[in-house]
Amino acid sequence: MNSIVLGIVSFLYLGGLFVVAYWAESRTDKGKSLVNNAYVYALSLAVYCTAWTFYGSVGRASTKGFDFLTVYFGPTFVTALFWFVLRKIIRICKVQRITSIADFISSRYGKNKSLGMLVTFLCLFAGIPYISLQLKAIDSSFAILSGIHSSGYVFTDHTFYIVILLSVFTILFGTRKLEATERHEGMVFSIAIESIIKLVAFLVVGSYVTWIVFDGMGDVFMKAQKLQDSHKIITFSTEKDESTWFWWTILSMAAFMFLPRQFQVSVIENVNEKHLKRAMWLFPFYMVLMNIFVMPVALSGNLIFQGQNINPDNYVLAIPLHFSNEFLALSTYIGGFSAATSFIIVETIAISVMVSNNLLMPTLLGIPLIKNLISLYPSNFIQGIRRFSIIAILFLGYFYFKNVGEKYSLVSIGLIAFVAVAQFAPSVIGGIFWKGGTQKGAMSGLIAGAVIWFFTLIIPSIINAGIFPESILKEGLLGLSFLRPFELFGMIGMDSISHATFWSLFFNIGLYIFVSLFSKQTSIEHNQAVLFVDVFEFSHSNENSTIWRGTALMKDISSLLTSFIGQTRSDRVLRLFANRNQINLKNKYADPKIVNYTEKVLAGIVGTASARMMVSSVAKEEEISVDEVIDILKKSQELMAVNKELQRKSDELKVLTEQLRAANEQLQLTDKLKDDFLSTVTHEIRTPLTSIKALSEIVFDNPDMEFEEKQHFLNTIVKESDRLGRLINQVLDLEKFESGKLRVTVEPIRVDELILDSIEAIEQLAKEKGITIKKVIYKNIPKINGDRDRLMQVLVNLLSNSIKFVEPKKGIITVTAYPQESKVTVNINDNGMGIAPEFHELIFDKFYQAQDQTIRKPKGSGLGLAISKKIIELHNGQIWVESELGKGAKFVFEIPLN
Amino acid sequence: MESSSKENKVSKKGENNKLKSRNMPGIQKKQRLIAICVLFFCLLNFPILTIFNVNKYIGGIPILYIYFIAIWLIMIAAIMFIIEKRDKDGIDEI
Repeated sequence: MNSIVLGIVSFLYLGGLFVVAYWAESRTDKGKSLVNNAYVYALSLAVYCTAWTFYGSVGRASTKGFDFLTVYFGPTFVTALFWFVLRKIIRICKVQRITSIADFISSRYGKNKSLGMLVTFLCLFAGIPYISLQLKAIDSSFAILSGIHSSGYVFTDHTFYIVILLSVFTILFGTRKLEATERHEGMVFSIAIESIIKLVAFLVVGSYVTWIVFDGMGDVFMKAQKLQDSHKIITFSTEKDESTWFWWTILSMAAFMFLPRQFQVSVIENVNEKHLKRAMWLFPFYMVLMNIFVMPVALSGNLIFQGQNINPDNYVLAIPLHFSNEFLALSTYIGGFSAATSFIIVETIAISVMVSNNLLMPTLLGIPLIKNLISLYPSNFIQGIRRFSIIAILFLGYFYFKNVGEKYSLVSIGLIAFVAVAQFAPSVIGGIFWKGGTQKGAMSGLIAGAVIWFFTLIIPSIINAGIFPESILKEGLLGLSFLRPFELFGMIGMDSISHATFWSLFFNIGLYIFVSLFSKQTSIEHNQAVLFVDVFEFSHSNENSTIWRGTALMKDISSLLTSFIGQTRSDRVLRLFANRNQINLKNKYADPKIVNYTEKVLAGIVGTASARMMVSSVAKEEEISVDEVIDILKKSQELMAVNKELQRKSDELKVLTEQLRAANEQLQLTDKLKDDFLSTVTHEIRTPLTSIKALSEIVFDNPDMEFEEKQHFLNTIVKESDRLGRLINQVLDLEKFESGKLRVTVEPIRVDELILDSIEAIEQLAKEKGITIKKVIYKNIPKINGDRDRLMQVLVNLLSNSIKFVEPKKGIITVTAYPQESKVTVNINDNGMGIAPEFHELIFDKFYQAQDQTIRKPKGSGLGLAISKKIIELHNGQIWVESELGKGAKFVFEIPLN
Repeated sequence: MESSSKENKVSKKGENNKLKSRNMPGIQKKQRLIAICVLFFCLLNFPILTIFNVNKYIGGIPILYIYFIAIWLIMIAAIMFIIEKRDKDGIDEI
């Protein structure tokens, strides 16, 4: 392929990256962030998969078999613990305004300057070769595709121009804001897009090799069986393989979270802790997809290029080229390019923040002359330093690649970096779960780990480069046989990476624990230890949990802040904080809380150690003893516990009050109902009573009344007394139902008999009025369980209601009964005056008719339907009416079987 | 005096326990995830791997390769199941 075309494609791709990042940033400025999204977060974590994954895994698999997988299994085990470990780290970083892994360790162990420097140095030593490795991948993929091995240096080398573009991108989207705690949304979004590109590219080339070049995965593996040593690739053949497997898994578990790029995207760029949930399974799944074709492609490469001198790291590109599929080769090139660039961008930002905040700033601030210079234009200065670091890191990577990097395979440089980063694990994990870890412990552990890493992995590579004599490897340093880099203290039987991992972590963890146990913390160390370990308890009221005592002029503090973030912002920030905590800003001396807060804001810009140096330069600090710190923290913790308890109690009270209120409302309602009920009952009783009284008085006053007339009056009196009696019985019934005293006596009943009996009871009344009663009863209705007398009461009541409301002579009443799935339904239809829909529910209320005399003339107590409803409900059934004015009424009730 | 301060301590402990028990769902989730991590670490390491470390094929695909991918996917599904399961009362604090 033409190298010019390839160059143009590469530059166009980078241009696209600029556009994407710029677009994402402008969305953020408009408040429509694209990055506040769990999927984008999960994809950005995939920056883990670099060119090492894209090219190197295949290379490793084709010669050594499965051990490349450990680098993905380790992180998968760790993601299971994200919710428990990483979430805590994220919370701590947000609360403490921590900007990098170096800052984290330095802040945890008493805001110690030297610890931050040590971590930064390790990251630099591990990171620069790692960056050069990515450049190497870009360069060699370019060479393979174009067929031109670029032998040029700097201006004649296309990689040089790519490095320039990458530094422009990183500076533009990585140092836009002064605060290193600010998220870089444009950068994160473009990383997420690159993650998609590299995955798709790899899946496409993998599918091509597996299904187009070969006939499926089975075919590849079967053919590969004929290869010499194939069993060594698809199985573990030696004991060394087993120990490699174990130690590499441990190594990638220890390193995964603390790789500078990983810490940057997973902690610093995290928008919302909840995004972790999605990422915890999506990210490992991404890794599965990324690795699924590695083995088939590796074996295919071995088959196709059998006996040819082709670097297995380049199989993914060489295979499509071999079959002259240039387009596919190009898309694969783009995938590898995106894997490499995403790594370079994030790693450079992460390390540049460390270099500026933990290495350069604290050093420069320690020199009085420079310190005065900085204080003139602090913000320009810091940004300048950060940009300078970015350029320096990228070009150091470039020169490393040009001079040293060409000698190593992708995987070995990556693993060497892993061992360096794994050294942070003891101090970080210990630091967030164990308050006893001390600065001296962390320092000695880290130094020991770093020294062993350097001796067992870096010295041999320098020896390989021919700088040191080879005798060191065989005879040991200074001729001491126990100081052989690959067999330290005479331990044999491990590969160099496992060997280095074991010894460095052994000394690191051991010294961290033992020195911590035998050394004392200063007050600030203890303070930080508590704030880190108990972050979830303190993070709510965190603003005031750092203990500081001393005096500082308010003027000095505010001018310090102003010089970094400008007059307007510093005024606003201080005012808001003062309002929240009720502090008077007009006082001559600054409140300790203000001093603390200022330090924290500055820490987000220049790093914890430098912020502390700057604040202490304007403030006179008093020493506080560890006991005091412990005491104050304990008190505030107790206070918080009491607060929590109070909150809980007040919540409980709220619930109780709510319940009480509801109960009260219910009571008032019942009370009102009772009043209504009483007044209607008395009203209903008074009507017959009045007529009885009036008629008896007439009879009494007229002793010579005619017999017939007297008979008539007395008859009415008897009728009215009956009505009164019925009413009282019904009231009593209803009362029994409502108080739940009345229980139904359940027996199996035949529905047809029940209906016939009811009709018989009421037939006489119907005949008198000339009303026809029809019945439609289905056969085979199953027996229902119920109280026979009560159900008959319902039927009689409904029937007599209908008789009352149909026109005499013309009235037709139809009773229908039929079974349904799990119930029996009975309908009583009439052709009477009907009931308007709005009253369909009301008529089942007590004395409803009494409340609305216009609908129906009272001919009963008004309790019949209410009682019927109660009875049906007691049978777990339902009763309702379907009707319209003038179209008759249909009363329906259902009784469930069983 | 002494006895009353003791009582105070006892009652405080009781209250602390109550507070803790309110965080139970979060703690349970945490413990489950740790258990998953340990279990799969064992499944994907020696000596269990020796069981599948044989030069045999299923459907043309090496047993070890199938084992790796399958266990890996199962582990991811287990993590997903635990972490995405909604807590009844929504308490996530650990």
